[in-house]
Amino acid sequence: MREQSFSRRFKKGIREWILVIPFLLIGTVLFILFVLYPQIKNIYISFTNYSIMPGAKNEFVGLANYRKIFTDIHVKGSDAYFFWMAFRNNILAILITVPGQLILGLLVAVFIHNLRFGKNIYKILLYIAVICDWVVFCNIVDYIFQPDNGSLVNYILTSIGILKQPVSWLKNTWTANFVIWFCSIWKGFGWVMIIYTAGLQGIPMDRYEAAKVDGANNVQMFWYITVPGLKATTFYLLINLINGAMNIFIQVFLLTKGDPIGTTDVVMDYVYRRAFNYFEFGYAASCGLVMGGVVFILSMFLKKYLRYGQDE
Amino acid sequence: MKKKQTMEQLLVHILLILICVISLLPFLSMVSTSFMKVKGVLPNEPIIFPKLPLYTKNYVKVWFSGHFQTYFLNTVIVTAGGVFINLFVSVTMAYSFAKFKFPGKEFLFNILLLTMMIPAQLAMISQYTVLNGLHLIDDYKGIWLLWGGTCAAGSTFFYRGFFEAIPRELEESMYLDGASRLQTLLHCIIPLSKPAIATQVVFALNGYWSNLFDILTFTKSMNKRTLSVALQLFRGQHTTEFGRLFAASTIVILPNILLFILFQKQFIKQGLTEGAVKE
Repeated sequence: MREQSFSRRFKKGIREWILVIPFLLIGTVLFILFVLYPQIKNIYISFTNYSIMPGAKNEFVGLANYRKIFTDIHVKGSDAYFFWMAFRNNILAILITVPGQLILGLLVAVFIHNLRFGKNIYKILLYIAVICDWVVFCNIVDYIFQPDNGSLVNYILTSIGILKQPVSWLKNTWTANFVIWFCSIWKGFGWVMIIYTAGLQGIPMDRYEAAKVDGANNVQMFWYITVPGLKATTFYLLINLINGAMNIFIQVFLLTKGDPIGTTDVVMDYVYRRAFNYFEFGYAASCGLVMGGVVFILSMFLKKYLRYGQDE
Repeated sequence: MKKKQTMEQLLVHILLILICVISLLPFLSMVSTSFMKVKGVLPNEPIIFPKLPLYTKNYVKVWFSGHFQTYFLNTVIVTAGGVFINLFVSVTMAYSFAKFKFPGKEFLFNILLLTMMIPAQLAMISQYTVLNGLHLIDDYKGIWLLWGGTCAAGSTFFYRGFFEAIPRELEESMYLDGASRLQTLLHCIIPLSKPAIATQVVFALNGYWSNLFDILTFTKSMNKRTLSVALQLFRGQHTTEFGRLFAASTIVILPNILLFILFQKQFIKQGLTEGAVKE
């Protein structure tokens, strides 16, 4: 009896797979080939001292790479010290750039959504920073944060009296970190805005009309209709933005290279340089995996508490 | 009442204009600088508007020097192929997850999600070995297949929600008329998801047009290089030649901005589903 129901379930499963496989196959194969397999191989690499030279022996070194990450954390100049410094900068980036982008993006999206005319022009204008090539974008950031008197940022800030003298933004730890965060927020909030305006379109207008009949004001409608109605969108954004902040890379790679002495470095840049400048692929892979583990746990935590796909 | 609403609208416009000005001022400064002879130390005041008459030599030099035109064409080709495979993979994958029932679905979906949490750049070493094994290094076909794989997780996640939001009644009425799964996808799901698809296309276009690291790592010869890579090399060689640097930069982002403005029309079509099932 039980066996029969099992075989029936099995047959049903096969039938369902036959239906879906034409749609699923190509994407899944490419995904396995270029994402899943490389990531698994990455785990293997982290236990070896891997070399990309053809014919090189990839010695198995056990946990040695991981041990390196956790020894002498407080000794200045050790590998662990620089890794955790970079890690700290990623955490700071999450705490600052994620709320920054979400709040700015949501506010602008709500503003634009409620306009009677001119919606598109604002969307287009605010999206320019998002679609801008990263290399171009970093050239611009580099330019406006030049140490001279006449650079855009120094000029404005000294003219309105916030600064007494020009600042060498990219040469000091905290100002350089500020520039890195500035990049993320400036380049990211337009994307958040676009996703939120798409989400806002999904909230039925009759809810607002019903609330208006009941005498709700704008602020109440924002908190009781808009925010809950955007829950799935916000979850999608949160996952992406946190992931983005953990993977901050290109602006550090192009603007500071982690200087001064690793204090503006982030994990991805650290990993990339250890891998491709010093060819320590094993160590780099283990650093990346530790980071991946942290991001993974964080995302699972979010998933549990925000529940994907349940809007109401 | 009406007056109050008009005031509100005006206030919102003023706020938005202010945000736009702040956000775009550096870009204006870039374009203006590209029309001036700026080299070495910066002038004492930031360049907001260019001095007339415009100095256009920067553009002439950039466009006719090196292989700029080849890079431009390469970028067009690589981006077009990338967007095509991205669209194909993400729509078929998301359709599978949104509208089919099959054993192991959530398991597979969780694997997709899981890979999204892991830093992408790290996999480059192993991706290189895969492409090398397929003899697709220094070949755009390799880049396209790679992008087909790397877009799968994120865009499946993105589309699934949109596809699931499409009411079942619409598809069921199509099945009753004898439509196949493929026909339902082509004539019901895709038309109703145009806004979402347009959004994804814009992101894909943008990402592939400006891609730096994949092209840098997986192509070897100079004649396969794209604009971003070329610009990065240029930046390394001429650090303080802001005039020429920004002339090149402006040429690089111009097509991107034009494409986005063109796509904008499709992008705004809204409320399609809202109108479709009204009792």
